Amino acid sequence: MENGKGKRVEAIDDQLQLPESIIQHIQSFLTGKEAASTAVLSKSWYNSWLTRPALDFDERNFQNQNLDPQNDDKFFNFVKRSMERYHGLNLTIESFKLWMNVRDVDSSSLATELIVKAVKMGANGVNLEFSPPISEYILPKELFEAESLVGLSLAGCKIFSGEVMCLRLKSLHLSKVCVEDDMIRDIMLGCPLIENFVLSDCEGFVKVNVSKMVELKRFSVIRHVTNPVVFRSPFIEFEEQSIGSIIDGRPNLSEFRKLSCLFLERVKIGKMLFSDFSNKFPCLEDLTVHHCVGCFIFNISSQSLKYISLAHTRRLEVQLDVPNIRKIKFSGSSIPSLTFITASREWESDIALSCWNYLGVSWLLELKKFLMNLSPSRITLRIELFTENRIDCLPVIQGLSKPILENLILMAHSSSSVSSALLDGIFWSFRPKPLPWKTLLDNVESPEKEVQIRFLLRWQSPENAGPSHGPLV
Amino acid sequence: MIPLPLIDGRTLARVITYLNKHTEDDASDEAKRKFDEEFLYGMEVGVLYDAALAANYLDIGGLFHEVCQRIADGMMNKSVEWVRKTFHIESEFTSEEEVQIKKEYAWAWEGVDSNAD
Repeated sequence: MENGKGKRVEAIDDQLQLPESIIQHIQSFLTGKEAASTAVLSKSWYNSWLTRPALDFDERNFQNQNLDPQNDDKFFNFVKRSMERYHGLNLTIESFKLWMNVRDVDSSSLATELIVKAVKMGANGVNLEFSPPISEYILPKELFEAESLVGLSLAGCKIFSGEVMCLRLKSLHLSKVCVEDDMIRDIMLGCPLIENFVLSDCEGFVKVNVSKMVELKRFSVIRHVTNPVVFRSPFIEFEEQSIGSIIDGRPNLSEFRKLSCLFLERVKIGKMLFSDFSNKFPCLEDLTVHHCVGCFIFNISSQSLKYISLAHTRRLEVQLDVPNIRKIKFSGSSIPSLTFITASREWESDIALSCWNYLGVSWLLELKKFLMNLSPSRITLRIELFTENRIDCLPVIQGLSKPILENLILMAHSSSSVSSALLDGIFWSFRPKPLPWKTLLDNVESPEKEVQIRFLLRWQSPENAGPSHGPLV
Repeated sequence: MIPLPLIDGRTLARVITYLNKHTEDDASDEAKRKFDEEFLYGMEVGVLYDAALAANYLDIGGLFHEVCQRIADGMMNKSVEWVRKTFHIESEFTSEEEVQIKKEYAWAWEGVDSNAD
């Protein structure tokens, strides 16, 4: 049967037979090991696997518990044989994935050989991960000279400065990579089409200028090392000293026009990140600011923002003007203050509080105030209790309105954390919608559990709701 | 009139349903994902195959991706016999050939329960 399209289509039986290209596409969704195991299914699956355009070489598949020294050879042999076969058949590939332990000259030269060959075979997606992280392995220069490269993900290696010719690069993900300033600059300038850029725990450079990346849609900076990072629009500076300085530059308003997702974790920020927000980031829909230092009181004003995620252990005070918001997430150990100047009509809040300190009545009142501010939204509240808590007297809050909780989840890490007084306090303060009592006390040990469960069943019955609050149902 | 000789009417109707949902102006990403889940849920293997072929032929990237992912998900952690039966794959291998392949790529079978269902 002929097919008008110029793709790799073979004759299709009337039976439920799939052509090789589709089989290969399905195999590309499986891990290297699973895909190899499909080779035994049938001849067409076998042949499809032998010429698959998505190569995935993972050394961990060849390591078993025996630590058989022969296993090293098995991986080397398999990989070499595969590459020879592809070379012999003059095949091209679409993507190349490699996980390798590079600890000596042999493995290092094998890795280089593989990468160079993969690039020659036309791979446009390359994903390399080396162990141990930030190994001394230096990537071959051919990688950045590959003009076909569209997606590149690197972990645990070094990049030496060289020519950057991968003009079509759209996605760059660097994790635990060591790269120098001028190479970063060459990449930023040489790859104007980058839409997705992730820098996670990288080192070796001081400045990252993303101002020329006009196509940038998703930008993440994650830093787990203690040196703080200065984010100065449009620059990100990685300071060597422990205290960076924030220079008040006037941002160039034409930058970041397409940025739709910004993720900052443990980065040092300043208040001017949030100034003129709508103009700086006109398309930003997703903003994540987790555990960033330097600024705990700020305003966010944006027409485009739909998803905000904040996290900190210190107390945050945020004023929000976000008419199109769909979801706000917060996670932390201090109850923040989130006030809304504008919000949309229907949105969700997902709050996760971890409690390490003694919880008193004031905590409950503060939590109630916080939740009242979030009231127009559908609130999911997760409280994780790590220490013993005692609440000595119930807060007198009858007759006042109570915030309604869509979902309430309590996780206790010790049986003494969940006292009946605490539960009393919670049920007096908020109005959780009825939820199966099972989910509430999953982590509490059994003798306490029974007491708590009986208590809850008592609460769930309408008679106990009292006249001023209406039924709990 | 554009004749499409390789796709039957039923499959084409399904493809059109998919396209209609995904080109809706005010359909959010979550709504689309939810639709995809319900759309593909419980689809028979034969229907999945037809959908994959149709999406490939018509070059509908999103649908092709989803269907192939679904087929791949269905094959994970399952024994060879189960996969052959469920996905109507006829093995033209003799049992010796099968043993040979499993030996050659022994690493792919390490730690895998061959009778997992």
